[in-house]
Amino acid sequence: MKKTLLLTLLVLALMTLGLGTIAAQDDLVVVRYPITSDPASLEPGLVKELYSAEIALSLHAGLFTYDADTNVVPYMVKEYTVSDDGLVYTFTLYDNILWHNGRPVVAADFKAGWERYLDANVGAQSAGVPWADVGGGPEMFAGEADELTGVQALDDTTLEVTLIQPSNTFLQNLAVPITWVVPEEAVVAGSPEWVDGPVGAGPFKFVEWTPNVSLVLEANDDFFLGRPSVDRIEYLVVPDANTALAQYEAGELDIVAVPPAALQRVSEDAVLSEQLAYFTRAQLRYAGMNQDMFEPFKDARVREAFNHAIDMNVIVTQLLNNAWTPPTGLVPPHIPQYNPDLAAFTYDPALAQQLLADAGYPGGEGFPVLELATLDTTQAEAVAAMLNANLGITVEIVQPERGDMIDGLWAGDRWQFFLFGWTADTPSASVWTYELLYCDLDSNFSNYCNPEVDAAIDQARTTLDVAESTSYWQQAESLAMADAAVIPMGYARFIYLVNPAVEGFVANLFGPIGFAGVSKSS
Amino acid sequence: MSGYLFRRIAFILFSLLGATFLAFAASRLAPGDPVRLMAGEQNVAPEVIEAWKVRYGLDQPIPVQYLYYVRNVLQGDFGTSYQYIGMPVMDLIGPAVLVTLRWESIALVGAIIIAFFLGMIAAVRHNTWVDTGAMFIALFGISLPDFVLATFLVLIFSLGLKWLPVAGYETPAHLVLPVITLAVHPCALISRIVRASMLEVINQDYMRTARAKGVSERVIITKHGLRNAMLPVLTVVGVIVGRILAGSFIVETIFNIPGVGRVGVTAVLQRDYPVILGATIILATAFLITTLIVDLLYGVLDPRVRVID
Amino acid sequence: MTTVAQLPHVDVQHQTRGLWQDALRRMSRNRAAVVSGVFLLLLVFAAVFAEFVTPFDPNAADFAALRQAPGLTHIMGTDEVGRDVFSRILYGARISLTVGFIVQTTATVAGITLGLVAGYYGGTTDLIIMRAVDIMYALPAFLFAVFMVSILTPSINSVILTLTLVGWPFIARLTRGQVLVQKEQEYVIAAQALGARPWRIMLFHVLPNTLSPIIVQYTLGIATVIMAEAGLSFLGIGIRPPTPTWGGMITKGRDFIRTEPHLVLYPSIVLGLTMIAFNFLGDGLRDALDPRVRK
Repeated sequence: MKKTLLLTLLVLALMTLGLGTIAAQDDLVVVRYPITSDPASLEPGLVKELYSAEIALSLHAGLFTYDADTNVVPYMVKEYTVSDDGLVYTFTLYDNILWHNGRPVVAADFKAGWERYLDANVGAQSAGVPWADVGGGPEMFAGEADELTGVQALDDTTLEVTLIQPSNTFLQNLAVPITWVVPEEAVVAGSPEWVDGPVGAGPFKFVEWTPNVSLVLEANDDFFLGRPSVDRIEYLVVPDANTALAQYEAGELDIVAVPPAALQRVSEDAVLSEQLAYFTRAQLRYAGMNQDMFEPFKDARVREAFNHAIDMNVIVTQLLNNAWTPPTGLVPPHIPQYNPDLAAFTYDPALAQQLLADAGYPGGEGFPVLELATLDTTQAEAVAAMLNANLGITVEIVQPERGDMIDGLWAGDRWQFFLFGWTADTPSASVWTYELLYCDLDSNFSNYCNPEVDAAIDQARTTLDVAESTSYWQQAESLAMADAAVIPMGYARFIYLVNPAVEGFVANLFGPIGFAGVSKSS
Repeated sequence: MSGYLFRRIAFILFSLLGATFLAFAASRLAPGDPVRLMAGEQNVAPEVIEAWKVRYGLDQPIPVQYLYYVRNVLQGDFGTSYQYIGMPVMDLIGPAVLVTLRWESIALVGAIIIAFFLGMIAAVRHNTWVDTGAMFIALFGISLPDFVLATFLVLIFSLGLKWLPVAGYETPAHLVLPVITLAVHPCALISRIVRASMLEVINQDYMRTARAKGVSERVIITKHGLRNAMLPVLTVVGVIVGRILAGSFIVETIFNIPGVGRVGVTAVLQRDYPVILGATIILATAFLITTLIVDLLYGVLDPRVRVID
Repeated sequence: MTTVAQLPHVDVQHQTRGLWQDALRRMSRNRAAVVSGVFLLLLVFAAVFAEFVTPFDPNAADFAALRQAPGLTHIMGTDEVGRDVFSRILYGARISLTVGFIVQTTATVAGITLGLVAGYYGGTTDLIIMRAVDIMYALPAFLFAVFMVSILTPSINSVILTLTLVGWPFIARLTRGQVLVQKEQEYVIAAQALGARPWRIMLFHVLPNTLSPIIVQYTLGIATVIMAEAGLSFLGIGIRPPTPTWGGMITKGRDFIRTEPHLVLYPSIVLGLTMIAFNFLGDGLRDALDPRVRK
């Protein structure tokens, strides 16, 4: 018996031979940071999800960026001027910026890089939108022109951009990675591929990417704003949130996002609660009522009844442990056009029943069975239970896989009722009020249409005066809320546990702002 | 024999073709537009959709797409991932297969050795407390879902006692918990089969004869019993190999092992068809070769089974 | 023809009848099997009459009683939206047992039939059946299941269909392997020599002698199916919530294992006991059905 056991152990031990041992890196300052999936691309212009955007902030740099307070600030740009008519922007770049391959960054790199992103074959997700106001931009994206004529490199450090019409959002566009460029020689022309390995100009350089395992970056000694304090960042792919949390608690990770289910335990833990960091996030969680897929949703009274029958407070505080903040409307706080006077619907089952009865379904009688599509069943089960208890409606829950869910939303003909989140890529009410509510827009997943709301949105979008534009946005939002266009569920937050040795880890409204300003004591 | 081998290899190729065709057809008939799935949460401009359809050959009729696919695979080109832009499928799957082969073979070898041990003891001491005890251990393994077992193992050994790392694929210590989690189920399964087969063999007439002739129990068990128990066990092991090859997604996810189970299922959830197809082909090939070996061993172990097929 | 009276198949047939009659008697002496049988009967009973066993609606959320510890009102506590865990386990038994039985029975019947035919006839029949088995078999099982369920959109029907598709080739191969052995046995050769009809030989001679491992496999297979359903739930593509399933409950409870372990423990215990019961029952059957195993 002993012999068998010994032999077994010996055989098994032999089979692990050749498996690495962790190399001692005592002299290096390493931050280990989990991501739930590999980045879709390491090219900034091809960013399409949270992680490629986050990683782009470490690997790349652009003309402008968003700071910790989500303000647009110059990055590679030393100074800039705008002509009086708001059409001509002249940017002066720092003259000491190097690509990771050693070549200096010149103004012409931006012209070439942007022309690349306007080639549909490259497949940039931005789809030409950031250059819609730039001379030659629309023509080039349509394949009718070969040059982005509105952009000219006057010399190595001077870039001149001429717009077709004045724009409030042009500098905002330059502050997100989708307009950040890479050196022409590092990528395959007309194709979303690197020639060799990723090359950027950001605070960290590419070292190694092992798909499904990790992406490793190291400090860029030549970074034009000074070498970062951290030597290495290891983005570890950890798909399971509970695993990541356990790894953090065992000291295997330096930072971890806290899943809502674990939030109560973490915040009641004497040690862990000290390491919690909350950041505001520009994301609306909402329940959409697809009017094309479910006839009763065309009646505003039904939509109102739904709004009054769901207790957001219970969902946010009891089920999500305050991982979200309760909703006030559609536009999250901290967005310039946020309306502090707006209030979400009150929880009022009696009123809800009355409204549903007025709409012709007393006690839920005759109301068809409704299908609720969601990626997270906990909230969905609460919503289903509340609608059932308060309105007598039967709600069945469908949990499609993520790609399917999103595909169905864009197609607009799959989900009757859905729980989803809508996240900002610019700090503007346009993200929610326009994208989610404007008639016939693809991203208007509810197929909601109200000419009054549209009229206000049109005014808001075309008005250059900021204060005036804001009042139109707020007007559109108020009208839509009064019409119960969607069911706002809450505003999500970024919630992290951060190793006390790590300092300077910050997220703005869009997410963590990268590791350039992060330090770690040993 | 070489004629037999030739036929078997022909069958393997046929099965591969059948399996790929099924997977290919399913992937093309599934709801959802791959190009839109590639885009993630963004809406894509029609210009980009058209360009990418051409780029990935999705503008062709499905049978043509299949022919192209087969041709490319024969040339060693499995295409590029839809999810990770420009990433060759084999760069994703190749290393993952090696990882899976390694850690799972450790689990399987361990499971088989321990299972034989448990099963034999249970059979020899049939209907005693030893039998009940051994089978209870086996049942315990079968009755616990692997993600429950994994969660409790991490809770106790990593977070509680701090003996072992929580997750990752770095050192041998990282493999202890996943190997235990994965081995428990096959071990339970095999030990039960060993026990059942041994019992059958022990009560065969020729065994009684051997015993009557005064051959010692030890010799009977090892020489006759074991040899004959091998047959059904072999079938089961063959199946388990195939099953755990692709079925260890849960363990690989919880312990964060970059194996092919995790890669494959992630690809399914992301509708990354080139990766799904690549994984199917690789796993199917590995499985078919295992089956061939098992069948050949069948003939070796039991001369009465003619290699006819 | 006086030899007819001594035909082996007549003999075996007689023995078979006696075997089934004997089996029950022998089963009743196996304490573990009896206890398991009683447990499973109770479980089935409780699942069928769940309405009368528990006062709580399994889907009724109570937001004033979230994740409560087991107590007098909720004997197994409440889950993350305040539903009674005990009720959900009972109603979940319906689903899990139904899925387990339907899938495993369908797969086993199909597998045995095809395995018997393939193994017994050999030749072209074997070739065709085994190539089909090979193709199904070659597909990586769990990956295929996940793929199928996600394409068919997750529901109880797609889970049953998919798991059946995945399950039958295993039984077919196991049966065929056994048949190949039995085929060479003297009694089959004798029966063939005496001109017995193939289906008769297969049904009355070969099948009974191949049953033991298949019965063991059947009982374990139910466990496998219920586990596979749990695995699909783990990926969020199992049976639609709020329908209670054991797998789904365990998966969801895993989020709270550090603070409310009862959410994982109770469904796991019931699932585990059910698996053990199926196994003991299968064992008992095996011993009872095999006339050569005597104490």
